[in-house]
Amino acid sequence: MNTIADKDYAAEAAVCQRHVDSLVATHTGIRGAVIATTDGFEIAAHVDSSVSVAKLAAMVSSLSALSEAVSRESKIGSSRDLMIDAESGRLLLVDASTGARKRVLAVLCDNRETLGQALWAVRSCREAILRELEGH
Amino acid sequence: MSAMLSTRRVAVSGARLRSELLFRSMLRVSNTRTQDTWTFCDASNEADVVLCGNGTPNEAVPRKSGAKQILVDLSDLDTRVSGEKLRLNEPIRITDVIALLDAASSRLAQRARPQAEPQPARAENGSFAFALALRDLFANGSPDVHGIEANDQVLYVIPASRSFFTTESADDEETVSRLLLSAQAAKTAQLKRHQIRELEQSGALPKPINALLWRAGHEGSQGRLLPGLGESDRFHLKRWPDFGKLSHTPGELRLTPYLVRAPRTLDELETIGKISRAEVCAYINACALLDLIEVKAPVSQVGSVIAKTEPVVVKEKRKVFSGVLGSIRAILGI
Amino acid sequence: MKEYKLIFTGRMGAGKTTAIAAISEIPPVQTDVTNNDRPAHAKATTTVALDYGEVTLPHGDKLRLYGTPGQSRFDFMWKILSEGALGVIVLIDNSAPDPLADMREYLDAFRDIVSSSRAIVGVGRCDTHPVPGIDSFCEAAKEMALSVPVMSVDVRRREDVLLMLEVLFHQIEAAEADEALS
Repeated sequence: MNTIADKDYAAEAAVCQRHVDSLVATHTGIRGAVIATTDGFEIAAHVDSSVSVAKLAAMVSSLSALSEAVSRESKIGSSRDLMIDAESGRLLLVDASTGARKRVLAVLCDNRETLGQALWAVRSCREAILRELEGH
Repeated sequence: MSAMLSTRRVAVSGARLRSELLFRSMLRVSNTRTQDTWTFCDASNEADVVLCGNGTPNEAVPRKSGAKQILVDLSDLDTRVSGEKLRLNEPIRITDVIALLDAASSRLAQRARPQAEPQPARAENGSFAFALALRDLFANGSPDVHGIEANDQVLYVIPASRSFFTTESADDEETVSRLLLSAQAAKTAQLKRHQIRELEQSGALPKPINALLWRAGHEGSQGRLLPGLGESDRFHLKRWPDFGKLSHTPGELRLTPYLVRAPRTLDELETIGKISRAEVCAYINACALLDLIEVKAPVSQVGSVIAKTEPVVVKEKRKVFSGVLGSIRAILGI
Repeated sequence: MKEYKLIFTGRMGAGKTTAIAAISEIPPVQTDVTNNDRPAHAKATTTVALDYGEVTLPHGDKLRLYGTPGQSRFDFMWKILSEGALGVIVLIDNSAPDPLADMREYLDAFRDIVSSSRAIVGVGRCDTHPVPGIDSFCEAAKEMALSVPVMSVDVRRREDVLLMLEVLFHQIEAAEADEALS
């Protein structure tokens, strides 16, 4: 399992886990969420057992890095959000970094959640996490 | 240090009987620890080293012909060992005798060097002699240090770790070049423990032997295969040589993947590598010295996959990547 | 216009980005991020998606050079990048804790390409870390029923990177020639 065994991150992981749990619990169209470091380690996750959290965390970090590289090469500034629109749902990736601590929040939605609703929910969750972590 | 593996003779002249007897008995004990093997001889004109008693003038000692002789005044030895002046005063200690004899060995070796017979620029069989000596040594895989001596040069090898070293003062390239040019059969011998200790103290560091074997194989071939490898044999390479460390030609690079994939004859390798028979032999010899070659029984010419006069015929339609590789090579300057 | 892919793989710090930079005609595109796994790897940053370089060939053809992420959690990228690859260059850091295990992992991951004779293993830092020797790597590959050239290289030297390509290309040609004759 891709986790960082560093007790310094335990508090951060607890905060992230609480917000991820809350996000999934309050939105029926949101199937799951993962917060990962940009180098592919899981910080917190709430997904069903059919999804490999470790693999998702690694993929999320690759996608995020590719998104950043494409934005840089295309001269459109730093990448912020990334969306994958699939047949039966969406994956939204948003930056959730605080200072030097780089994170990605990835949220899996099904088609019951509109894009607008999903974006609003994910960004709200991100802001709540950042407020709490920056306040530490 | 630089002279080794020799049997030398020592005599005593004009010394008291007690001193001579003492020295004789010490020689028996010291012989397991000296650089060379020393025997006592009665005739001082036959000796390499003559220990002269108090007051015996040097000119009074009958000299060995050729002047390769060291006279040691027992009353005031000026032999220098490790930068310290050594005096063989009574009571004579065994360690002093050993130091004295080893210092004498070094001096004798230094004197012998300028008088060595000049070697031909390219001696027939020279590198083969050296290469074969190396091959035989490495075949036994001994963990002991062995010396290979030829052409007045000495190379120390440890077969088990496939490494070699020369003395601190010796230049590796120069030593190896002279050994490769040697017309004499290389002499090998196992070093004694104290010699190994001295080598270690001299700061000599073992280096991998492969580049040396590789060079011996290439430079000693002169168009022939090593004994044990037949002109009609097929050769199979167990693995790629480490071209990151070993010098190689474009032709050798070309034929190596074919040699790895299947046994090949010399004719086939000439065609594939687009190199001469002599170059193929040199490459096979070098690989054989590195224990990379497997020899397979010859097959009839009829069964040969690629005949010398028939170039490799490749069905172009089955080549997926080969076509573009030339372009990539050209662009990258390979 | 045709495109060809060369893959550079190996664990973090093995020199994939350096090797690509040695031959790419463009500055390599990198996807490096902060490395949080410092106990395992001392490097400050790590590649999480790919490194990319390219070489323009005649007639507008392209040779694309891809570096994979090193860690096995990114093995999905290894599969994506190796699809249709001309060949794979496995870079090993001989100062790593278990370089033979590293090689086994990558040879296994790229087994299809390796068994088609389109791979080479380059072992770095052999001068300072001579053990395990090249023989051991060859033996380990043989135990996996794979035959692959193993060379000691310093990828900071362009000629060493070119040597690996040259060996790789000769292998590919020999394999295709043999296949055509069979």
